[in-house]
Amino acid sequence: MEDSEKRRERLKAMRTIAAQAEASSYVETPAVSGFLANPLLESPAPLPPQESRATPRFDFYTDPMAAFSANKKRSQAGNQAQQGYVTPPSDRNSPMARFSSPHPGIRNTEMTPSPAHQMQSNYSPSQRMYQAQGSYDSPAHFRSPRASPFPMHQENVAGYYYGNPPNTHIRSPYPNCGGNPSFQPVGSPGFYYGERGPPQHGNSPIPGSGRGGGSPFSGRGQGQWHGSRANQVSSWSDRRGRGSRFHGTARDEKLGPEPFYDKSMVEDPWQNLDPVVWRGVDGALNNLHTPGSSNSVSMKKQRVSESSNKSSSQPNLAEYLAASFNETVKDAAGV
Amino acid sequence: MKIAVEGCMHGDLDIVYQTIQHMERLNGIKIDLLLCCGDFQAVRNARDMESLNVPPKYREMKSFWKYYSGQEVAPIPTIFIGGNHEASNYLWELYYGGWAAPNIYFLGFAGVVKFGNVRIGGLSGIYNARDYRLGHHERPPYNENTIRSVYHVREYDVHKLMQVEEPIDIFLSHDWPLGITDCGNWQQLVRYKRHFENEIRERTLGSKAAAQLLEKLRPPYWFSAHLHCKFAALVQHGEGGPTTKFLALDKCLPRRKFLQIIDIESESGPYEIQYDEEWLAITRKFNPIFPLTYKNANFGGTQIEMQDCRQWVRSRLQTRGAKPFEFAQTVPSYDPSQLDSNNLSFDCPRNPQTESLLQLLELPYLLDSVSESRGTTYDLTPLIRGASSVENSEEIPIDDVDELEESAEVDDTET
Repeated sequence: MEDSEKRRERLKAMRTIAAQAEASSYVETPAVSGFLANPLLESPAPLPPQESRATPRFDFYTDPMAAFSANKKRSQAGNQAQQGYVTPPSDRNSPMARFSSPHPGIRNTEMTPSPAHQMQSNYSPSQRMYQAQGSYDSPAHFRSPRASPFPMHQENVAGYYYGNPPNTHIRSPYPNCGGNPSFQPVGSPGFYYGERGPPQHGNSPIPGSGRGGGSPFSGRGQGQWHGSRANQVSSWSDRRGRGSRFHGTARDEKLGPEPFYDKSMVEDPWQNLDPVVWRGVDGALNNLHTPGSSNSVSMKKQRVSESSNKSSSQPNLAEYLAASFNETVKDAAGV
Repeated sequence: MKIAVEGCMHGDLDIVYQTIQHMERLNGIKIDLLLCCGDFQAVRNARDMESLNVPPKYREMKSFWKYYSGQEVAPIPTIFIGGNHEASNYLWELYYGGWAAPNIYFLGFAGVVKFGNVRIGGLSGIYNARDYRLGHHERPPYNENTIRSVYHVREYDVHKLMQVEEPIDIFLSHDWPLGITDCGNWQQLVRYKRHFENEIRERTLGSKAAAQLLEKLRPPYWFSAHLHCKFAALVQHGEGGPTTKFLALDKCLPRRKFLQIIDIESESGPYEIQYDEEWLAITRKFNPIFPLTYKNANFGGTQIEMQDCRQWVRSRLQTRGAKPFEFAQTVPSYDPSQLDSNNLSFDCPRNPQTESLLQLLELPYLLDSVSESRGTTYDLTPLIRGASSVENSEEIPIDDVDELEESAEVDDTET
């Protein structure tokens, strides 16, 4: 494992090289500061004709809260107390959920060994009827380096792909075969083997990956290229001309699973909660799903409702209920 | 049946499975199923990254491709829904649900399956009022607008889920149902997620569509993710009514609460994922009005009686069996030894699983249909939404504190 000191030096060297490359070429590099230029990028990928693609797409990010939030900027300092959320103290036991199905109850406060751990491994003759075209019905099982019992149809794993349907307008490097609802049998010209050769069996890693036999992917699945991700710079650049770096695995995987485990993960998260009667959604939501209604009108009402809510300062339950009632009356009158 | 529930996957399959296996060893248990509540990032190769809406610093191949290629196999059956950071082109291939990789099942844009006798439903994407009543007009390759709108929940899919009458045991949504914080300790929540407070007080935090489904379906369990924190709530549906145990989970990072094990009484194994008869009947009934343009579905246009659909589907499943069609690769997987990925096309092939399912239901394949507005999609989008992409409220720079912390860590490490 590379230590942090060496890694810093290596990254620093890479930045220097990248800066030199950027200065000595006309390669378009990311406009966003703070991103490493791609030293292997020889030329920008041709841009598709759509004019909208000329605009960088990834400068923005979908904030999970944005659709509901007017408060879009958060300070880092404002969240320092976030770790270790605990449910409120309470002496009351969690009530059992009322099941409308025949599978009641959570009983995870004490785990007991499960008697069976089954994979998707059962086949019945009747279930094969739609798989009788050949390609789906191989009895051979693929064994992963992790020795999973999952039976994988090796044809599908070994590197052939279903291409486009006939008459597709998109250019495909693969032979077309997907348009035929009766799938072609193994070995037909319709299956793309690419550079990888024919399907392989057994404990092989990716067919044709050049790693030969054995299993270089054992252990935690890091693969051979972990730790050298900075060198895994693809020459592919996206439609915005921005170089892309692909990282094989997260740095966190080096840590092993222990730091990711928390004992609360096997405890009942509802044990200290009391049930709260669902008070329903407001009038705007009741308008949400009205097949046949005018979309624009409904959405306008919804927005008005939202904006009026935002302008009020922390309305209480009674105010919410009153607003909801009024909204409903208005809607009923408008129908 | 012991089920592991995970929040946002963000492509970290390796470490999530390792953590589950660690939990199994530590507690002497065996987990039967993993449920993931979105942001799965089923990225198969470099081209799929084009359909993934994340900023450059998060454009990592991560580990899904290994499971797609067969290099790794998921150690336990895994079911996931989509979130707002997905290889949307791949999920569109599997709109009706299907194996995204061996032993890893995508529930579809909306879907219900059975695992043993446990019935699991889910809704992919996040709610956005602007796009809610539009049809599924997006087609890969996506532009700067459609790459975001493609994962916005549509009324059509919610409407289908609202038709479910038989009890759902577990439901998954990426964003939280609106108002769910009323049923948990939201005061505690805002102590470390201060920026949630306004939305909670104003009842604007969460998905209205999900709240509507919660009211209708009243499942015993509801799991979500999206907001990168753990939050539990206990919902009672009316006085003396059934309860729903809601749990939102974090994303996979050290010392974060991204996993939860629940134990559900069920019939004894073997367990396997199977098609759900009622859901297939709903799919058959509503597929004729599948909205494939900007225009919403005409919900009055379905003339088929549900009972007729049920009977028809029952007959087909009795003949064929309810096991989903087998996984099939449709594009080459990422290969770290091949640095040049320019030869990958923006292909959007028909997935054989989808074709087979539609064939089973005697429905036409519609996912690659070119809508009337397709040719002008890029120009029309801002007009139809009444706003330019800049005005899209979701499109703000990522400054989620979690990401800030991560980037700070990365900076510390790499500089």
